[in-house]
Amino acid sequence: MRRLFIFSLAWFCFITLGISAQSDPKAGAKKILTLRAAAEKAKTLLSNTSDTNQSETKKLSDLLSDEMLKRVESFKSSKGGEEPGRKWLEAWRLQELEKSVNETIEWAKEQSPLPINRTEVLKRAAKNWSKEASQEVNEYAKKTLNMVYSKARELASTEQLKKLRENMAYPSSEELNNRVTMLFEKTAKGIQPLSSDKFADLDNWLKGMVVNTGPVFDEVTKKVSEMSADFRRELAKQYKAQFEIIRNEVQGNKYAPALKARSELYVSSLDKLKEGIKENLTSKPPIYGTFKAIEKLAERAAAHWEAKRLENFLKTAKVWMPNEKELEKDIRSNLTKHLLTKDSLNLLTEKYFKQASSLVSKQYGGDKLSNYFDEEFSKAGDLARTLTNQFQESLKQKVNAVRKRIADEQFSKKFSFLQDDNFPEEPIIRWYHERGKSTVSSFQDLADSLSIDENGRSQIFEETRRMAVQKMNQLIQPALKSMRVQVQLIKELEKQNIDQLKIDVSERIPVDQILRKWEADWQNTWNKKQEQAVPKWRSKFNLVGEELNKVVRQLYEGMEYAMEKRPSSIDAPSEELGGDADSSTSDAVPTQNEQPEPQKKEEKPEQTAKGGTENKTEGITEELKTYIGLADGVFAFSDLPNGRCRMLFGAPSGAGGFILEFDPQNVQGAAKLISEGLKRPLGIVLEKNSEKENSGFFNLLGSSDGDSEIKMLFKVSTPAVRHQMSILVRQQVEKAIDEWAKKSGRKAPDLIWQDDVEL
Amino acid sequence: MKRRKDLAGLDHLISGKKAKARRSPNLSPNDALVQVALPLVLILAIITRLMVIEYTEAVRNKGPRILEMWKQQLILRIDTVMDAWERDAELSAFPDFQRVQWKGALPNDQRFSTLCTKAQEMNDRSALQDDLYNSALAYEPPEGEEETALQFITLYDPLAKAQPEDPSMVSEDFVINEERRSYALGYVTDRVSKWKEQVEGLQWAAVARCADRLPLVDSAGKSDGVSAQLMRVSEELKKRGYPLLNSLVEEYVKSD
Repeated sequence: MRRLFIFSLAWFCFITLGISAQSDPKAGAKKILTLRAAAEKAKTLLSNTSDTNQSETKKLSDLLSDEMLKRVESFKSSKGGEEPGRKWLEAWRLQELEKSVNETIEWAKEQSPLPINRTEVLKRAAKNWSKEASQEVNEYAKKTLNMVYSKARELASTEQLKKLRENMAYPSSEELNNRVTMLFEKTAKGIQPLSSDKFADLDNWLKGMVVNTGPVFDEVTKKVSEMSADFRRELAKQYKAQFEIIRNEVQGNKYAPALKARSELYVSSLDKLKEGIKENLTSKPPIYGTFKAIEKLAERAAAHWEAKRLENFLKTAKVWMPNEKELEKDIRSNLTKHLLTKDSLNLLTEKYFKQASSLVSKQYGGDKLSNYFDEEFSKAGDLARTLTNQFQESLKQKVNAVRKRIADEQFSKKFSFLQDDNFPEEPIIRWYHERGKSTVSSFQDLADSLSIDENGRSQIFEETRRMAVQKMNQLIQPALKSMRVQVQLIKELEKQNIDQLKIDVSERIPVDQILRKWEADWQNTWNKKQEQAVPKWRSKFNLVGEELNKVVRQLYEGMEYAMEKRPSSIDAPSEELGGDADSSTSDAVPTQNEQPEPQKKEEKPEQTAKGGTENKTEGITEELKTYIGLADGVFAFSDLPNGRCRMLFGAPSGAGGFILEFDPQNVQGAAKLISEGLKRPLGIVLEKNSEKENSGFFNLLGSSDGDSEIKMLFKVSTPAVRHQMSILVRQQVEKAIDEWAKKSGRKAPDLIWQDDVEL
Repeated sequence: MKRRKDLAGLDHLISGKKAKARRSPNLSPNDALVQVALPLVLILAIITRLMVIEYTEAVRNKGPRILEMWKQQLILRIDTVMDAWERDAELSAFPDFQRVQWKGALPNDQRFSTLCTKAQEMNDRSALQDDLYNSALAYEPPEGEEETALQFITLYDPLAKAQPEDPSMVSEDFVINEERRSYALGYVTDRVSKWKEQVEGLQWAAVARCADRLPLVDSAGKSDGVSAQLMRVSEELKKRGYPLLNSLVEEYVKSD
């Protein structure tokens, strides 16, 4: 009923207004004019739809990026997001158009005295407003999409990434410190910081930070996977920045000069870190406080530079060491005990080290730190090691200088004959030649060859011995070479003249005549070859005459005997006369006066490689003694007259000494022979070496905790032994050391291998 | 019986039991008021109002008036002159807007063009009114119409442009003094006002029709207001010989 009433009232009003409108042409005209103006405005709005200016592009990019963030699934891929983007632009533009049209209608209603109908305005503006608006909006979206889409996408992905970063579950300071410290302790050496690359080890753990990201844009997906790596780089950056604060101290020792104890150095670094680092755990990503790993690095550096600073002091300050005069007095007071440098060092260290340690504590530590350094020097730590090393180094320099002086004196006094022009005389040369030695391989040889008695040897320093051996070698080697060539010529002559000799014997030519002829032939040949020898040793050795005499007579007598036994067989085969020419002299027809007998006596124990008889062992021991102070074990190779080689092995003390003979042409076989022969003697040498180290003075200071070492001298005095032999023997020795260490349950000593090739 | 029946009906209405089951053939008082009485009252009110207007007009126009001689003479002269102006302006040809001839969006009517042109005189109403008053005082019937001429008696207004040959010969009853002049001018003003109202009505209607039919102009991004629309239509009409009154053209100027 009420509805009916309202309807009636509305109808009445409509009629009334209609009448009044008809009766007021001015109002009607104004309405039409307003409709027309509004329609033109609406038409303008429609036609302006496709235009987009720069500010609107920016605004649209912002709005579209907001929309993308709301509907990430729809805009996930760049290509797939274009269609929803276009549709959004259409809707947005249509909405904007509606808004403008509504404003126009509102404006028109204000202008007109009569009611304005929206439909009237739109009808005037366009034939089919909704269709045309739809077309225009579609065109606008197509045109604008290219201008705004990429920018909007960039904004949206940047914003999304920013939010993801803000929402990342960054590790707590404690958790992170545990990881970084573990990494530091595992990989960083000494005072080197962790390199940035090492932080990559944390990647697997850091990946756990990026969880539940929800849907993300494709371009963000890759960056999400890189977020943990980004954070790792950030961590490395922060770590490096912290390190930079203390770099000068940690790597450059730029602490305050007055600081000496490690605790002082450490505190200095911590203060700098505290001052330089501004922790902010709430920022994204968090800025962490001082890493424990950096503190540990500072601690390591403090310990390192404490020792280095002490070392610098020890190098520059001299008052804590005994002076050379004191040392010389000590050495001269008992030369016998100081024959070896090593013994000198041990004795002098024993005497002076404690005093030096105390002096350093007082002078370096001062009142404040003297007790601290005293305590540190008494422990087996870096400082004690530094002090010991510096003491030994400094002592060694001084002792060497003193010993050099004494050695020079000894050499000039006791070996002055080496300066004589007539030295060496032929008997001495022959001594070496007869033993198949081309060089003076040891002081033992030298002393034996010169018949120096035990008293004469007992006070001669190892340095003096070396000087004497060296000088002796300089003098005797050319002489030995010349003698060897001259004797060799006899062998050649023997080959050359053997047939003629048979004829001469059959013709009963006197042996003296034949001998003269041989001497003449020898001289002729030598005249041609003497250029090879130094001028001093070009004259014929007496040995040559003796040898020629012996050879000719032996051959003559042998042939004469054969002819008497079988007179018809003048052309008896040479084999019957003593085999081939090479071995005819000594092996086939030995004589009573033949010299190589002593060699043969030596060969027997050598070939057995078991140490030989007591007399031989003494000989080996004497020979080995010449190497005292040079090494813990010696391999001395020399020629034998039979073309083979001889190897002497043993400790300079004589322990494990043995001699071995081998064919130098068969390197592998020789190495094998040496390996087998070495097994027991090497074990003895290692045992002795081990005992010596454990009983040494340094063991009292606790230095035996460190690596032990064994020094082997590979001395080669024969051209037949090549470097390959040194390598093979060394491998065998290393292997033998390892086996010994396994069997004995001790730590294998470090092998220090010294090659000393004389030729 | 009937009363009891009504009471039962009311009970049913209150309880609502039979309201759905059976529709009452009788209207309720409320229904009667809204469906019948109210429209009737409205229609009656409109009719009454129209009758009052008609009656008032009839009373005003009916009944003999006995006017003073100067007044009669003034009205006669002024009506004669103003009738002539009306004829010249073709005003009487357009009692309403439907009489105007159109072709397309614009009028195609010579008489309407004449009216618009002549109506321009109304842009300076005081001058037109003054001119009409002076013309009325100076009016002399055309020769050959002696009978008509007898109706006209010479009037003398000392301030008028045209003066009689011998004003002293003019009776005191026909001398126009201040009061009489004021009456005369008021009479002219009333009638000119009606002209203007009629012409304005016609021209506003013409404007509305033009505005309705003229094609929209591409304003190239400039959104013109209603005033601009009026000026545009005015220009179109003026170009074709239908100048609008200043009061129309300046409609929005005034409001600005």
